[in-house]
Amino acid sequence: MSTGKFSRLLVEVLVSNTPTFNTYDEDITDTLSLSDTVTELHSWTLIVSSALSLTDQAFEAGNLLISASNSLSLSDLATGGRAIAVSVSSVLSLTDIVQRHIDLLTSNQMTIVDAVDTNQKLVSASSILALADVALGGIQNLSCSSVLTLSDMTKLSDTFTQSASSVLVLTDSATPGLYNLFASNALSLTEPEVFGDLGNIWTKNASNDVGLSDSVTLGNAVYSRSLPAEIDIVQGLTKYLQLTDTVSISAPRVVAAADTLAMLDFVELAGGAIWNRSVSDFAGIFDHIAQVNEQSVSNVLDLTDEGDVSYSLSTFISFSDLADVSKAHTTSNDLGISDTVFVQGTYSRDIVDTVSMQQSVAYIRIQEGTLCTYTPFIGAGVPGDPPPPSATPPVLGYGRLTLTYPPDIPTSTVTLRNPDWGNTDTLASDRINRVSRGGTLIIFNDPMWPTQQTLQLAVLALTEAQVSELLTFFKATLGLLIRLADWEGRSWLGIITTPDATVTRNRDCSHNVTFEFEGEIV
Amino acid sequence: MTTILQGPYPNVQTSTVLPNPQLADIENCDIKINIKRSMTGKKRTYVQGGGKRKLSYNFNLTRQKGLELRAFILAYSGSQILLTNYLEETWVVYLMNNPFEFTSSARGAPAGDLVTIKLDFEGIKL
Repeated sequence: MSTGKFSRLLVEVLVSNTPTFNTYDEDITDTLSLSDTVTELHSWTLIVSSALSLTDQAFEAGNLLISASNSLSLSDLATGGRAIAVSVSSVLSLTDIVQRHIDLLTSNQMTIVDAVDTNQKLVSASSILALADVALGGIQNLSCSSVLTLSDMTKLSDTFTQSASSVLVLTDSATPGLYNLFASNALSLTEPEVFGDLGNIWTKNASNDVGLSDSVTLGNAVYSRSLPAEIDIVQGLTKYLQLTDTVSISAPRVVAAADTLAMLDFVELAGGAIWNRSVSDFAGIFDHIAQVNEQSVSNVLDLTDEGDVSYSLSTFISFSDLADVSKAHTTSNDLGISDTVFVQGTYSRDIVDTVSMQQSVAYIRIQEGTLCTYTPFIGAGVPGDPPPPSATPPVLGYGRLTLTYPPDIPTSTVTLRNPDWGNTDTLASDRINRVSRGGTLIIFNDPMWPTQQTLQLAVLALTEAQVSELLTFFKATLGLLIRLADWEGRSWLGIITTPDATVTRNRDCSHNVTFEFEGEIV
Repeated sequence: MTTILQGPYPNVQTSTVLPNPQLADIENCDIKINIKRSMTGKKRTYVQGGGKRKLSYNFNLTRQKGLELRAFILAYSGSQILLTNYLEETWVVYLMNNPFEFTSSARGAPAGDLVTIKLDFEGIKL
């Protein structure tokens, strides 16, 4: 024991006990207790170290129980109130080997606790652990496992960067030649939730990076699975998960590759309003089997969207099937869509078509005198059509052309000779005559509209007295209603439309006159 | 064969049988063509018309048959009528005369005057 700028304590203890051969109880125990203490208040460098090397060996082929164990407890403590750099480290290397026995058990259990509690600006606490378990030999049950528990925690107020991370690398390998082959990785990651006031934290990030790689070799088949996963939380929730299963096989046998994926996304913010809210799942499933006689590739996808009222719900489904085989190609997509609409009201609408049918009957009777007599053939018509003409002819007689005024009680009468041939009975009616753009002719005549009946009369061989009397009558009845009795015994009421009718005196002292009368038969 | 006028069309109720018209009856298409000529001499024609045709018949009727035709005209001068002519052609036509002039031309048989009238029809042939 000495003091100064450099001080070193080195204690080396070697204990060697040689056991007696051919005994049933063999016990080799090494017990070592080391305690190093250095106290120096003014030294610049302070190092406390312990170096220990233990070697236990037991050699006996016929022994039933052989145990070789090392128990080591290391406790290092360095305390310095004004020290600039403080280092506490423990380095431990354990190697256990057991050979040629039925029950083999090799295990390493180690607990490492690093604690740093200081107010210094740079704080680091880390544990590095490497475990390598190897089990060899032609034995029936072979188990090799590693159990590792890592717990990292940082908690310090007023820090700008806060990080807690765990890095874990697991590698399991099982070689062929066994009846049961199993390689598995079980991993559970938990990111602690941050409590308290988050007002000064701009970015909240919780991430897990997971990489799993399993590989099993069985005969000619190699089954491997890789799982890269990433989970990020930045003002929302997004999951991206990709599973890839690959089975490669050279000999025909039953091979199945299946992925079961369940995703549930839920975003909720209590006590506040979220204007832009998005929940989405993306699943990319790709199945591929090549070069087998019977192959089946199927994707079953069940999507369920739920949203509040006035939110739009949409589901996009895309199927892509690929069958690559030389013997048969069958590609099919089966899609079943079931829509349900809840109707709160049912309204019945009656459709009524009204067909209006009308019929009429017309006939023609072939008989003698049809072309000469008044014989209209009047059948049954349709209401609304113009009324048919009279079935009976007007009564005709004989008479002299006579003009009288006034019609009822005549005071002025002019009698003339009957008109000569060529007199005209004219019918003029008011009609609407139109031709459409396409050339269709449309004529309309309301039966209520008046029809002008005009007689154009030419009277010849009148005397001077008759002509004079006629002209006087024209002047006296100018524009007045008169009665005209024609040569067929019919009586007309009307006016003379040509009071300026011309009277022609011929060379034979005869007189001719032509005038028009417009009226109606009474 | 005779000439038959039946009206109104299509619900025919009244039929009038007339003798055949006189010779020199007229039939022509009812088509209007408007020709426009540009300064370069290029012609553009605008045509209006369809399947309509015009018929013009002159009838010599007895006084009684003239009165029957007169009553028929008074009833159906504004309606479509069915015309069956001496060629056994059936036409749906309008009476286009306005006015209708019944002229007493001579003494007729068996009694009364001989009445002549010219009827103009315009329509389509069925």
